[in-house]
Amino acid sequence: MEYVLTTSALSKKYRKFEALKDLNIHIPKGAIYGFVGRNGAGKTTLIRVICGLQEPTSGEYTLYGISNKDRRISKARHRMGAVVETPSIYLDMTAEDNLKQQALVLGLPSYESIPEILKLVGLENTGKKKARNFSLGMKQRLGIAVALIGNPDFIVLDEPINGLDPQGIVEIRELILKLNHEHGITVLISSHILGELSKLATHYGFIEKGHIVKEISADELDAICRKCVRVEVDNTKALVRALDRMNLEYEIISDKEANIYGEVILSKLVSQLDSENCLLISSHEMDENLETYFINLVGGTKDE
Amino acid sequence: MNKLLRADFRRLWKSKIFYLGIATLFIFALISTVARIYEGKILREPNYMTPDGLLFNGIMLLSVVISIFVSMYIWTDGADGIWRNKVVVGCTKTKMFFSYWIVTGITTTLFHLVYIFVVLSLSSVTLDGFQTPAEVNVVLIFCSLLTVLAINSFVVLICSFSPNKALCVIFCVLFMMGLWSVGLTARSHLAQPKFFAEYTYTDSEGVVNEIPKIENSNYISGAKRKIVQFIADFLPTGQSYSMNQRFTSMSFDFLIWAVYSATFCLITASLSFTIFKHRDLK
Repeated sequence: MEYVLTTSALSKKYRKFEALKDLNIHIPKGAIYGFVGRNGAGKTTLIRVICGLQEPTSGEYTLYGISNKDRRISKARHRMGAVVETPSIYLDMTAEDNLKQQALVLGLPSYESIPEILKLVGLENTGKKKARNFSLGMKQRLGIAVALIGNPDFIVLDEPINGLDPQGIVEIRELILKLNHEHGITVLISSHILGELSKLATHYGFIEKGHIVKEISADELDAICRKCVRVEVDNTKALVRALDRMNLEYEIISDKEANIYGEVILSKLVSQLDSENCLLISSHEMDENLETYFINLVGGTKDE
Repeated sequence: MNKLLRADFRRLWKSKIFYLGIATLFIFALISTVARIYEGKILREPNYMTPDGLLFNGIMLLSVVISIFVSMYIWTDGADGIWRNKVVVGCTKTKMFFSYWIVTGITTTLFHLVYIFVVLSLSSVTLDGFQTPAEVNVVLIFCSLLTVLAINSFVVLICSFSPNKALCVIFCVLFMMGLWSVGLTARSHLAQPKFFAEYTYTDSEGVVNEIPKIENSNYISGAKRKIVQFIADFLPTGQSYSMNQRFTSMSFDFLIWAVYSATFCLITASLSFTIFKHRDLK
């Protein structure tokens, strides 16, 4: 699998405080990578480091296979755009002027792509309105437009929906999906609003206290979070025979526990287990989602 | 580097504080020259009938304008997050600050030239000619441009370690006032006479009293004088105070000031690039 960004034992210390600790992350090409963590977990710190705003204390990261210690990293950065925390825009300039400024910084030969980018983010009709008079959603979209001006194939969005109203959230979500699906742009999006992230991400990275606790694809997460009945028995071999007879899909978790998927009629299960001299110790329904998965994860073991 | 310069110059033309800076120096030059015309032609003060000493009068106000303009120009990028945009797409922090140094240096030189142009234009038709020889004035103007660049470089250094826009403007103005205090204090110490001249006076009873020549205890000499002389010549504020003297011929001081200004620029610029390079951006 090709990765746009990987980190290797990346650490960042501010005096005595360790914001990032031996962090390893892998962002596949073409993914929408949801970066999940509590406030203060280290999401923004990682983003600042990979964007080149701050130097890591130790470890390294590679962008398109080029290490941050390699001089060519600045060339690799031409392929990325970012909106870190708040949108970086000149408040005294119009949307078009802001894009022209960034186009000059990038050394683009012309301003041809600007109208198309403004249309993509829905700001084509702002005319001479200065950015300071934009709504928060419009500023956010202008920040994304500035990140897109260099035609990047990787963009980093740090909590892009913070402070937005529902309409604004929907607009940003649709824009991100469009950028990924229609333009093939890899997106790293950090957020602690899990419900919104679950509608977007194809991959997840969970961070806690500066350390990646788990990386998982959306498909794998869906599989884990499937609704099921978790049963505890004293003999899993007998349970397996009973479940096979009942044509139920199951997954053995341990020597005493199993997840049973599909519609489970407990009375029938108990009677089948009885015939196998197997004791049903406990059963409960599990309906995990991203939120419960995350809470269980960070509240549980630190490492996988 | 060219890309950054183009972007920074484009932003300069759109910047209100740029035009405000030009207007301030233009108006101050007008006021200074009109005041000189009034003193020389109306009040007939003998020392004010020529423009001598007027050309470099504006450097003190210019240093305040530089403090405000440069700090706001650089830190608008910082406050609006534009530093992030530049770094994310591969610009190094050193190049970013070097571009600021060049753009603000050219701009502040332009401010100074506006002042000089207005003074020369207006005084040439209203006042008597310079007593200072033309070639001396040309050399002094060149030295003053280097002095202005040194002042600009000093302000860029303060911007490199300031924590935010508001504090940056305050620090720049305060540090500039500090630089002027040190420069002027050094000059005033050097200007102390070695002796107070003897004099006589008649008291109320008609008795004539003779006061002999006495040594000035505030006069500094030896190594201390050399150090104070160096400070007065090295600091751009000390230099610009001296430029207002009436020179009748070329002086070796001009070369010293030019070398010191260039050195001052080099030191402050290197420090500012180094500090900013290692700064963690948010």
